Parts: sequence; C-alpha cells; structure tokens
Amino acid sequence: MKLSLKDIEMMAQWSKLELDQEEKLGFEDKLNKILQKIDIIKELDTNHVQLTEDRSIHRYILRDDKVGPSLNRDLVLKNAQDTRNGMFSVPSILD
Amino acid sequence: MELYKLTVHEIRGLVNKGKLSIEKLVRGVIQRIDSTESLLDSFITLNIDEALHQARTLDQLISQEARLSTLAGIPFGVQDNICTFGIRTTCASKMLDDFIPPYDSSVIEKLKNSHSIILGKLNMDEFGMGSSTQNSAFKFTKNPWSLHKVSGGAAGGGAAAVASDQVFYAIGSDASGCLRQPAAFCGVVGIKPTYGLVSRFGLVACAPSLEQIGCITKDVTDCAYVLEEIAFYDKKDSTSIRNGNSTYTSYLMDDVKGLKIGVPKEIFDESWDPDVRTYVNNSIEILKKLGAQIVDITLPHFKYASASHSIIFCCESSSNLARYDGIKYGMRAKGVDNLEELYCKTRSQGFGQEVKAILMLGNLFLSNKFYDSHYKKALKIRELLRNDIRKAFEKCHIILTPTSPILAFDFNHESSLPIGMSESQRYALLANMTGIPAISIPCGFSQEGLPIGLQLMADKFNEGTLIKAAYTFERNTDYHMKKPMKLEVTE
Repeated sequence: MKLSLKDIEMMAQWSKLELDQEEKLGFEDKLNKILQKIDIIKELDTNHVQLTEDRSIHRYILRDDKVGPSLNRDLVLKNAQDTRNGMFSVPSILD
Repeated sequence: MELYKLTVHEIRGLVNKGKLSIEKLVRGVIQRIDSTESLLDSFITLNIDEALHQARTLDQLISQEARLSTLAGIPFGVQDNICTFGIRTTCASKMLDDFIPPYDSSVIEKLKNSHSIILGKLNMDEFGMGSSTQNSAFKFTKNPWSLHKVSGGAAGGGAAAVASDQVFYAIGSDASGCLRQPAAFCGVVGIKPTYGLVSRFGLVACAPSLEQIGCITKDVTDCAYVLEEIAFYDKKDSTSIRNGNSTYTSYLMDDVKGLKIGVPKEIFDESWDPDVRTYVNNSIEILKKLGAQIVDITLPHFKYASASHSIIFCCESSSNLARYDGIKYGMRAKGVDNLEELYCKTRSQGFGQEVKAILMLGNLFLSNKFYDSHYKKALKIRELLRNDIRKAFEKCHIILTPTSPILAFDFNHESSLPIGMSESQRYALLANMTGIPAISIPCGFSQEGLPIGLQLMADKFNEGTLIKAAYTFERNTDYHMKKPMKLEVTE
C-alpha cells in the first residue's frame, strides 16, 4: 500500500486539518515510510486469534443519582476564547 | 551542604530529626534551577512563589509537631500533561498554550494532601508524541550528561530535571516507554506501574489503553517511597484497580537469591550499541553472582510489537484529540466564518507536525478499508503478546532487557521521528502493550560517558518484586551515585 497525495488530502479531511502543498508532500513521504515499517504485521496470520475483553479497561463504575460538587463555571469558562452570558460561543452553524 | 543533591529518603531523615527547614530546602532547589535551567530547558512553567508559600506553611506545621507523610515538603516536578489546578498545563502544545485546569488530577490531589511541593511543569513531546522532546512546541530539553544529546521522551523534561537535581522526583506518563527511556538516557530511575495501579484521572488522554502514570526518581528507594504514595484506588478512573499490596518500601531488601530472571532470546540483534551490550551482559553476570537464576525465555511475537503499538497509539490518539475544536478550551483560530472552518483552522494552527501525522494515520487505520487489516490486527497481536508474556512468567519472576538498545542520540537524529517506531523504545513498549509493570535503572556508562539503562519487567501487580530486584542491583553497584559533571563545572 502506498499513499498518494489524494490519500493524504482525504486523511487530512478526516482529521479536520488543512495542509498546504509543502505539508502534503512532506506527509506523503513521512507516512509512506511509517507504513512500510508497519507492513511487517502482514506476514503474521492472526485469523485464529480471538479478541478477549480486557476487564481492567472495560468496566463501568456507577454512582448514586445524586447531585454532587461540579466544576466552577467561571473557572471553566475562563479557558474558552469566546463566551457569552455564561455559555460557550460558537460561529453560526446554519446560514 | 548542597541540599539539592539529597534524595527523598535522605531529606526525610533530616526533617524527622528536626535538622532541616523546608523553606531552606526549597530555596536551595530554586537556586539550582536558576543556575541550570538556561542550559537544560527542563521546565515549561515554574511555580516558585506558591512553592515558597507552601514551604513556610509546612515549617509552621513541623514546628507544631504535626504528623506528616513521607513526601511532605519534598519539591517535585509534574509532566505538563497532568492537570494541576490553577497552574498552566500545556501538553507542550500551542493548542493548550494558555490552558489553566479548573481541577487537579487525582495523583496531584493525593500528593498535595501529602504536602509535597510542586516546583513546576516539565517539558515533554507534544501530547506525549515522540521520544526526544524535540516535538515540544516550546523548547528542546538537553541531556545533563551531554548538552548536545536529547534527554529522551516524551518525559525528557522530568528525567533531565531529576538527573540534574532540579527536583527530587518527577511525576509523568508512560505510553510507549516515555518515562523509562528518558530515565535511561539521563541515568536515573523510572517506573511504569501496572495498568490501573495509579489513577489516570486528570491525565490529558492520548492513548488510554497504553498509558500509565509513574515516576522518575534519583534511586530505587525514592521510587518505592513515591510509588507507595501515588498507588491508590480512585473511583474517578474506571480503569483504577483495588490492590491491597502497596507497601513497596517493605521490598527494599538486598536479596535476589532464587529469583528467576528471564532473558528473551529475541531481543539480541545487530541494533544494540556495543556499550549497551557490554553493560547489559555485565548486569546479567552481577545478578547471577548475587544469587539470581538466569533462564532463557522466548517472546515469539516480539518482532510485531512496535508496529502494532504504533497502530493502536495512532488510533487512540486520533480519537482522543478530536476534542480540540477551539470552543471549550485551548486555542481558537481567528477570522473564521463557520463551525467547520473553526475546527480545521484551529487544529491546523494548534497542532505540530508529529501530532498531525499521528492523527492522519489513526484516522486511516480506523477507516473502513483498514480497520480489520490494521487496527483489529494490532489488537490481536497485543493479545498474542499478552500470551507470550503470560507463558514467560510461568518460567521466571522478572524479564530483563536493555531499556533502550541505543544511547541518547544527537538532536535531529532520525531515531526521534516516528512514534513507536523509534529504535530506543522497542523493548520498553512491551510493558505498555501488555499492562505489566517495568522499571529502568542505571547499569553503566558508554565510553563517551552517556548513561545506559537496564529494564526489569514483572507480572501484573508485582511491583514489589521489581523494587526488590532493582534495589539489590543498585546496592551492589554505584552507577546511580554518578552525577553529570558538566553542569557543576558551569555553575
């Protein structure tokens, strides 16, 4: 598998990134080199391997449905670049 | 007395005897930072005023004969991807240049309750993506043993700060050997505990199934003291595990008699630096003479570990970093007309090149065409590696490898480029892929004077065995006593 410039553009779009032409060319070279190294996994047959769920990762911790302390609203909003009336402000979504 | 040169356990002794003022200790370390930081660039943000204030408060408590924890009054550094209430936390990224967390991570909350003192936030590779700190958006951290060499990464700031006596210990995260490889490069001790032993609540997530919070210390005794403090069950982290056995200082025993140490046959290859080979073989002989039994083991799928780790790392990172949208926190691009443009421009301006590469690869591997052939296959290889490790621990108590087969490299060397594919992390990342604990300890110096690290790995929750083996090695060698000379000369 070799990535083309078109592939790079598509991957950038999925990642919500804008790349200029120089960046695209740089990534085409760099990512193809990484993919070449990763290709080693192709030589291994893993069809027989069953994925088991790691219980240390997939656990759900539940708590009582009671109101508890939450983050200070002013401190949280201080980290946002644009706020209005105690809320996050975003550009228009619909025209 | 140069107080900054002491270890945590030496300070503890002086404080207990009433022979040390915490303010004097903190001032001593601040002076040390003043005289070395321009050479090293270990810190992103310093917390000097608050540290001095805490020191004075603590001296008052001590004068009232209050019972204090082991780490009370000990100044430490925090990797800049761990949230600290009111102290800027950047992940070494322009994206979070002015982010001030409105809460503490659980590990920091615990250390604050123990009255340990935060001196500052430490440099790292952006979002932990790298092996040299060259991917930091702000500065490169230099290796105290040779300022022309990297300090390792992602936690290069922490390792350099501990090695140069700027802090007594550092807290950081390890997703691919990111604590142990810098510890090896800088000649100090680094531990990645078992997955779930230390709460990750408040660690800025990158690759959650691989990463774990651990510490870098000056010696193994300090490692046991710090680990004992930070290992606890936390309901805020759904992967946190209750573990009754957390009295790690009780394992500080000079005794490896009968301990079976497995050396995987697959690790020996041409990539090793000759000095690493010499000192790792020497370490095996030392442990053998001390009564350990060396056994041959095999890890048949080791050769696929780096590639599968890279795939999982990229996939999890691309998913986790989707949260940076320019709205709730972090940077926000200016002059945008709509929401889509806000996302794209913010992320393009805020992320560095390595992060962008990882995000794009992650999204590729998670796409319909590559999901089974890459992501799912990588998960299956992780399963095979876990089986390899399980079988290995049927034959031995400890697995031994070099932490890194190569020495600290020059800035801009190719080894610092692709994540997980770095030659320097390919043994260390085994512990991340399988969730087991691993420690790196100094085991020698190259001909040009660069430190070499020995990695010991144990089965899950057997940190005690690791501490015992590492402590025994340290007691019978003097590599941990050596200090980087160049810094002392420049003062």
